[in-house]
Amino acid sequence: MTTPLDMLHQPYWMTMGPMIVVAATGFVVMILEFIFRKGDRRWLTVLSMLGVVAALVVAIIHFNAKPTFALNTIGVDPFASVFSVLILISALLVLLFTLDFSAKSDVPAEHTYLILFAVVGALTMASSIDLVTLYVGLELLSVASYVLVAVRTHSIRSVEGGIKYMLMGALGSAVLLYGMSFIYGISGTTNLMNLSGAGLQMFSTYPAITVIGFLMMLIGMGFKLSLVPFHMWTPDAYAGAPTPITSFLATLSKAASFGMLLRMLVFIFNAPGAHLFYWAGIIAAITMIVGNFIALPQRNMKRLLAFSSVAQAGYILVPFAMFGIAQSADWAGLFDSISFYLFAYTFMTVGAFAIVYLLERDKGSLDSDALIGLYQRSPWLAVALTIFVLSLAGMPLTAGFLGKFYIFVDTMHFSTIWLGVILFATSVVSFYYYIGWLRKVYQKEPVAEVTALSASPIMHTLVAVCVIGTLALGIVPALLLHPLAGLPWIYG
Amino acid sequence: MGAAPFPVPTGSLLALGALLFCIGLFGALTKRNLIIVLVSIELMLNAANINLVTFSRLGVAPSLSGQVFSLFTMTVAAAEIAVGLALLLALFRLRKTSEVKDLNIHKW
Amino acid sequence: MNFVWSWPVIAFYIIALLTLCCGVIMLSVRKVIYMALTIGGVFIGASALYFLLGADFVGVAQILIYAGAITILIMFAIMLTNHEATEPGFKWSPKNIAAAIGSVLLAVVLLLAIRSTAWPTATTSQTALDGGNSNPMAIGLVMFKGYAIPFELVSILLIVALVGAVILAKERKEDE
Repeated sequence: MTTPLDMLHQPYWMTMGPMIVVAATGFVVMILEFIFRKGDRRWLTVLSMLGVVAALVVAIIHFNAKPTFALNTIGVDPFASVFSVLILISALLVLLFTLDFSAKSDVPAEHTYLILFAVVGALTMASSIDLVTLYVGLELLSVASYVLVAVRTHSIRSVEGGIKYMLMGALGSAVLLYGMSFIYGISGTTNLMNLSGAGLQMFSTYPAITVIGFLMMLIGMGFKLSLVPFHMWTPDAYAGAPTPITSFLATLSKAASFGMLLRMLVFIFNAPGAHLFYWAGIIAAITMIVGNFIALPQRNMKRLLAFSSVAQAGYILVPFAMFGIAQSADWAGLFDSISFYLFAYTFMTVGAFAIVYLLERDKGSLDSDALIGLYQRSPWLAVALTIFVLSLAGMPLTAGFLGKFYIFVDTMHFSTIWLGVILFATSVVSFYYYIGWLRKVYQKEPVAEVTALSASPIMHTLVAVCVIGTLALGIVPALLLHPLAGLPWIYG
Repeated sequence: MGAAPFPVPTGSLLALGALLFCIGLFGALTKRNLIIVLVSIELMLNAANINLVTFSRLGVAPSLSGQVFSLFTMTVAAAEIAVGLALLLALFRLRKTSEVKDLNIHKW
Repeated sequence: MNFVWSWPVIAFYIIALLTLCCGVIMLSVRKVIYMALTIGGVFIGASALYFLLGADFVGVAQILIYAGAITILIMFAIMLTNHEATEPGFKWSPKNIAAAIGSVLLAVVLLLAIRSTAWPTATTSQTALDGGNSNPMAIGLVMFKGYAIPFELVSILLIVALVGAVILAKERKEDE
């Protein structure tokens, strides 16, 4: 270390404010959980939500801050701001979900602060510019997720899902770390800012090692993002986990992993050129095709949503393929597409899982036949589910459509139209299984008397928020695109 | 620095890491006992550590960062394996098994 | 490269041979408990390598954490589960063959890439790297100046692992 780093005089509050708030809330909740061992402890979840809201406020205050980094490690830049806000919003939705879930099922109260600590890891992944810190943040998120998936230790499905997730996750992080070690070796630094300057020289001197480093990092993150050859754990972990945790895995953990992958690839490998990022395109294509086709025969609703989320990860990976082709002046558009899709994806996925959870609790089964008669039983929830499902499929007027549209336009713009065609074709395939759901929703229930589907006010709020999010982004995308467009993505 | 070059070629050290990585990968993919699968993954992490420490001395720009990175990796690996083994205990309590083939409640 | 048979070279090849042997034995023995023992050999081999490279502190930490804590933890897990467990011999199932081919191919690619690369030969001594301090002190300075934030994050990670392991391993009353 040549630069003296003054530990006391760093802009900690500005650079890692949200993280400090969430971590502090986590510790407070942990201590309170130790003290109050009896009775209804759901107020701990409410407390956690307040903490997340406070962190969200801090993140929004510093949304447009000048890029600053504390200790050359962690900091605020447009990239960190956007992903932090996204992560905190999905954390809020997930916590709202668990608030209802923990009232009705026996899940240990420890899950509340485990979620908060996982959010700290996710925020680190979004805002760190150091490989060591990124790795530690990823592991913090992963280890907390392994525990959360298997938290119902008396349920074999939960434990089995947790074990598969843990084995695949550990394999992924070993591969990722091996890739990182090569990148450190040929550059001598773990700092992404230094790496982004050293990229071209590094690549021209050590081409083979650079390619290995890139592929290892892409594959390692591929395990976490459930990209296709590495997705085997996804349906089992999703089906085994408590449903709020499933929505946590599908949205928050995926958003953070995409943020980390994007930052690593763009900062380290921006110079070597197009052919490296081409690999991301190939993986995206395989993921879209396989994810959508395996989803076709699924009858279990959670498994279907799991494969659908695999396919969605493929869509989000498409813009990654274009970083090598696009000039850095055009990157802002790609960043916008990725973050817009992630925002849209968060609302519709959490909403869909919320309704699946209500049906699961009501019928005690995850088979898609549980959907039959939903419109008769609760027209409002049926309409909400219709909106989520159409948005996941990519119907106009919903956020999912615009997300796919922007990505499609990018593929045309940067002459990778083959990826756009695959995106379009696989979306058509996805309509098939989503429409299958809708047919059942509006089918009449064979029995004479129809009981209304009961849902707590909390769940109604959650579904309403997700509906508003999905529709608002679909009808007035400027709400999100306007703040995104003003951001100086490329700086320094 | 006028120090004599380190006598062992960098390539040999990295080759050792690469071989360990592949042995670990093979074990992780083929072994039946879940504990051994975890152990194989630890082997892969060790290979990465060997790389890091090698590069911290013999890399393009030697620095202590590599050694510090490997210390972080060790801590993280310890945390990961603690949770992993606790999960295996939970499975054993339910199913009296610790083998991959018995993970069959969900279809793979 | 002029190859000299000096003592570090001999030491390296002995260490490498023993480490790889332990790795291969781990793959081939039947009893799970012996596998756990051989992995301890790999860990100790790696720490010997770190000492050879001059990274004393990492070497000690490797012995303490890996060879000590993790190996013992694995032994505990084996004893607490099915301690008589044996691993069946290698079966030529399609999945295993694919795994074998994949691993061998990856090894070949990695070795070729490493071999074809001209690694820098001008090396710094460990003393220069430590900047005149002892190795643990130099590492401490780097860790608590440049890497203070990940260090704090690791503390949260350890708490998560601690709480998580307790939640998962704890016996619950309402077993199915």
